[in-house]
Amino acid sequence: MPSLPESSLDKTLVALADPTRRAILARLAEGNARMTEVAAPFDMSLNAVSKHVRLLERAGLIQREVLGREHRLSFVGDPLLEAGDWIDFYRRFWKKRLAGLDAFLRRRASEPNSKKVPKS
Amino acid sequence: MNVANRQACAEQHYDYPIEDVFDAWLDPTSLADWMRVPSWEKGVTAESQPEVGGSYRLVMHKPDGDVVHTGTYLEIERPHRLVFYMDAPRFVGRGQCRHDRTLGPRWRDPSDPHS
Repeated sequence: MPSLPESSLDKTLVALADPTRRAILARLAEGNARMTEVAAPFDMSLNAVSKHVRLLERAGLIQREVLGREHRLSFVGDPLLEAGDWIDFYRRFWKKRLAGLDAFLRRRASEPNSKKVPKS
Repeated sequence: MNVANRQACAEQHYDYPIEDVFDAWLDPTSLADWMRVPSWEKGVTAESQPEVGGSYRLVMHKPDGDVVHTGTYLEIERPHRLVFYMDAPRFVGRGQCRHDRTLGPRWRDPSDPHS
């Protein structure tokens, strides 16, 4: 199966597929913070947290402003909207198809002489 | 992105005999009927060999081009269990999603504790 080029949606979903990164986003969603503040609650090195932040940055979920030695981080929500739309599309699509199955079964049930589906 | 072990679950209750629900997933004529998107006038073409190792092909005739679903049946235990692969390389025409050998549906008969 040929692989598709990595899309922004791929990056968003990869970025979200980690509890530390989700916690970082949750923290930044409450307000901007310095890198050291973001890293403080985690039981891991600043370097390790910084790697997570870089991944979130590449996914467009975090914006970094460098002021001298200070790195200020802020949350960017737009990629989440795209991911939400994608999930929503499938939810709606399958909800409708499964409702279609219900309608199909109802029609079947109301046709007493309908030909039964042959057994597999 | 590695999605090999990701699962998604959907639960839906149908108030009809479980055999009818099961057969509606396997019989190509039934599938073509209920998978239809009402606004896509050309409907759905479905063919299947409903046996373990058999394959199916379901084409939804979307106005801007066909959406093809193909796959093979892995487990068929009427009426309690049906497992199949599904590839839908195009699906919604957004060019950004791919169904790789998705498993589904696995379902449960509430009256059967072993299902």
